[in-house]
Amino acid sequence: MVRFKRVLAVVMATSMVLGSSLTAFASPIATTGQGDYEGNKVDYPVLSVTLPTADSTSGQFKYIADPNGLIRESGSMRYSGATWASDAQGVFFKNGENSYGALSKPLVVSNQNAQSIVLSVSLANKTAGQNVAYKNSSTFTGTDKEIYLALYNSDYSKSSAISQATTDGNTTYTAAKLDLLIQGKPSNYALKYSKVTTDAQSETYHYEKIANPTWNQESVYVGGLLNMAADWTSGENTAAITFPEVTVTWDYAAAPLVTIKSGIASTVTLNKKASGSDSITVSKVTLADGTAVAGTNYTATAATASANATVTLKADWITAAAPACVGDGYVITVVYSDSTSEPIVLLAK
Amino acid sequence: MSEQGEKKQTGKGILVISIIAIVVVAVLIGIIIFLVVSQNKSAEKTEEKRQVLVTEDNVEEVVKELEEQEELEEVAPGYYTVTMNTTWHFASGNEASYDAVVLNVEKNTNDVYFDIVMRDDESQVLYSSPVIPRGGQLDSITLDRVLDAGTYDTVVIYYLIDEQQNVLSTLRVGLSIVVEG
Repeated sequence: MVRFKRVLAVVMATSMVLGSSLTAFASPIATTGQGDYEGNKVDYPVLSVTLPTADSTSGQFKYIADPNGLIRESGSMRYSGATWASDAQGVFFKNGENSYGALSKPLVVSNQNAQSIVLSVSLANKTAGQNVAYKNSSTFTGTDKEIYLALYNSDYSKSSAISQATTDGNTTYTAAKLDLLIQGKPSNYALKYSKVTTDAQSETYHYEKIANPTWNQESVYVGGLLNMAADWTSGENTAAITFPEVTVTWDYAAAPLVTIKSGIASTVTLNKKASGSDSITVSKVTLADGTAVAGTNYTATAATASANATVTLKADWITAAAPACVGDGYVITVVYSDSTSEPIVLLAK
Repeated sequence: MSEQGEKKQTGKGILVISIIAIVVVAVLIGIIIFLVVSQNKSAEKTEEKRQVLVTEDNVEEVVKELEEQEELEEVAPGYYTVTMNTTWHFASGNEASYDAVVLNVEKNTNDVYFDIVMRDDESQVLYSSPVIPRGGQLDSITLDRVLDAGTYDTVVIYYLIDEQQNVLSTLRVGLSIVVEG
């Protein structure tokens, strides 16, 4: 009977334990705690930029040179139905379905990254023209056969033209070049913990684009003019005329995207490096509106051949700046002693 | 005799109660397992998306939505999305780069290949790639020429091609190559 009661007690206790969803087993008393490292800072994906191509047929950078006004005089007989901008001066780019003007259609560059990019576009001579020289100004003097080919930014506030120089019979060409900053959108990326691809072996932290993101973009135009005062006759008894062929090259690099926290100083390694034994110092740091940041709010190290320039923004300044750095960040500019500059994007998360 | 009888009865009682207890425990375990499994199933169910039933009334709308989705996702004609890092590092001139990567993202409209040339002398070709189909990726790139240590200013010339590998369009992007040793 006693044995029976013992067995019954054990069985009932077991039932009660299993039937209770709130049962918690007391763990052995722990005297140590191992910390698990969650992981390194996660990088954004590889830079992705949408750029215009040089179509081999319709050609975004191809142009028609008509210094003798044949198209207009014939009523565009060769180009049936096409319209021609009346203010063009001898150079025509196709800028619509069947329309031509002194400027190309906008060449749109879309920055599809969290990071801002510093974009440098150059328009360079690929094959020089015959008996046609580049003029680096849109104003012509004299009667030389000259062409002006240039890059323009979207509001035409900046422009740069191809130029040439001849020394001892050798001609060198300098490309037209425009620098633009296209801001990135960190808000278009979300940090996830999942498999990067469907057949990946394991889950990991990584950034993924949100659904239907919109991106910042900038437009560039190619434009041209001819010196209409020149004698543009090409034939058996005169020098042959061919017009130059140009190419467009896109260079870009990510501007440093720095996550800041109130009360904590932030050191930024810049892209600037010097060459040889030169040393390039930081002249000033400016806000988005051009106002200089007081020198007491940061320290800087110079760029050398072996080390990039750095800027350390002090904690108090970071605290004051943080509210303006939310969302997609705030751009400040580091200006160097060689008159170049580069942007930094500060992001408060 | 009565003692033996008592013992027998006690034994039977223990047996019956043990059986009942085992049954009770088994039922409890079963209930717990059922609850856990059914929770997982309901979680799976919420992840499933329903297909749209296409009828005569909505077929045009559904097709239009699908076409619009495709248009939104494709790169516009005359454009190409370049996805690559713009500085490549090589431990030495005859090894593969440890960080070069070039993708031809799905939303591009064409397969591509590319050449890498020196910016100041484009007759010097440092690398000629294979064709990268849409959705494809190229990494662990070894140059076709061995370079000495230094930094090289180069241009990547992309060739957008059709199915017969005829070149339809080109695009030039600057690239910095750093050979460390």
